[in-house]
Amino acid sequence: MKIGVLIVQLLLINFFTFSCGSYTDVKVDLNQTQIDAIKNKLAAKCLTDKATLFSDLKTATTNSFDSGKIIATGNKYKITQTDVSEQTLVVLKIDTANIYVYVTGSLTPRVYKYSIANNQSHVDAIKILACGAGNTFTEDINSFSYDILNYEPDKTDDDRTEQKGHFDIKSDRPVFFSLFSRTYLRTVYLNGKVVEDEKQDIKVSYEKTENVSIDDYEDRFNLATHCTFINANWLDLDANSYLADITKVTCSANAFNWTSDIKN
Amino acid sequence: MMKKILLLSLFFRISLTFAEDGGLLFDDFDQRTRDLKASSWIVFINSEVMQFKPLQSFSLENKEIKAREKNYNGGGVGIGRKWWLGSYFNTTTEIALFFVQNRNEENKIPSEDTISTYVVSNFKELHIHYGSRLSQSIGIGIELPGFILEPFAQIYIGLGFNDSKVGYYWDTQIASEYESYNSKITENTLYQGVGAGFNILIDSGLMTYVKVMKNTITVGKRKTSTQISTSGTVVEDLSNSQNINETIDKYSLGIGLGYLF
Repeated sequence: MKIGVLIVQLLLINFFTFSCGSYTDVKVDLNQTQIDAIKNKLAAKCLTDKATLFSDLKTATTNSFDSGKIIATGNKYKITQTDVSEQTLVVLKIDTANIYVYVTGSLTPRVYKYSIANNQSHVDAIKILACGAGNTFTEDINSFSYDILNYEPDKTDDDRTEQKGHFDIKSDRPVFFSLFSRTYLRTVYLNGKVVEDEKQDIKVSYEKTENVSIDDYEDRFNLATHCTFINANWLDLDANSYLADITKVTCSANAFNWTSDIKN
Repeated sequence: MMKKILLLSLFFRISLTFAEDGGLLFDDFDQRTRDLKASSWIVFINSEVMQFKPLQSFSLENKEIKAREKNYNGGGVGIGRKWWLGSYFNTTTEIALFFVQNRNEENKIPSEDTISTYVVSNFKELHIHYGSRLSQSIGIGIELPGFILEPFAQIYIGLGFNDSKVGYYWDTQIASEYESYNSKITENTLYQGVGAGFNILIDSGLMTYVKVMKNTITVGKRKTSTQISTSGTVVEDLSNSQNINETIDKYSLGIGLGYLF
């Protein structure tokens, strides 16, 4: 029936002639106070909306300190970072409360003590970073990742540093190891132009190479600088991504004891 | 505006295609040879543009609107009966239902990329007018090769309803800057009016038409509900119902297709 075709055409014509209305998006410039207020609002909403996700992430990464998990005593890892010489990382001990790792590379060897309290504070830091305005993240607890876009001092300043980063957080291991699973692009602008030698596309990754006997590391442990984390800032893009250069830690000689801390 | 002109052009183009091809899409009806000057029933469907003036107005720190003339767009359907009064004159009685509206929305988004998912301000307006008309027209049929051109004049009466909503807010998450406006106005209206236009009738029984109408609209009962807030505080909260009895003249344009049977 051609009449059917006509009716459909009529209805379509009528529909399109019919005002579906107009819809427009207009960009507005806001002052810094307004921008900050909106950022806070978006972050607060994200934290509320994703509370379960972050709670699960904290629980899972804390539970990963138990023995028999992916990260085990004696594991040796190779850390690679674009344009930087390799580092090695050896897990000297992991128990339900702490993990001790020996790190060596281009700089002075260090032993890091990483506690479940550090782990939990770092999850809290990730919450803030991942929920920070402009950041995006996946919601899969098993493979949580987030992107960061950051401007210092701000986007409109001719002399600024722009940082775009991607972090991967695995829930089956301490957050400490997530430091070695990220990429970021750091670009420095001077007078509004990119300073080419300050443009860095950096990839940090780690890979298990072998299992070692930790007894072979006693002397190296005693000679190394011993460090504890003082806050969660080392997860920030502002922190140096190279573990041996981390400055947001407290380090001293002989802070830890081989017998009581490692062999106990 | 250009979109509407293009759509109306398309509408005419399709109508002419029917005429040129003897009803390209109407083989069934092409088989019929009919006397277009015999009295017959008519069904029709049309698109319509009507002038209206929504009453909402406000002036706030970040937004201001005034009551202003708008075009409402929509359409209608109807049925009628045409009687021929001799060879040239005819008269038609029609009853039609119509619905027109004007709808707009504007969001204001921060130019700052990192917070571009946030809507700082939203302005939304939806103005609806619908009703029915009973009309009587008189026309003159002019036979031309392949079709009849039929200029006509029309008078009508009717009932209508207005439903007009405007909502706005500006929210930068700083309490002292917050402002909002929400208003709903409903009105009952009575119609009388005159119109003029022309029909084009073709052998298959199809017709297409254009008409311009002058609507004299009498607003009867008006219900108003308006709330204005600044700095998070309601500064005006108005809700009332009034008998207005106000008369306004508005024009409308209708373009339609019909079928005589």
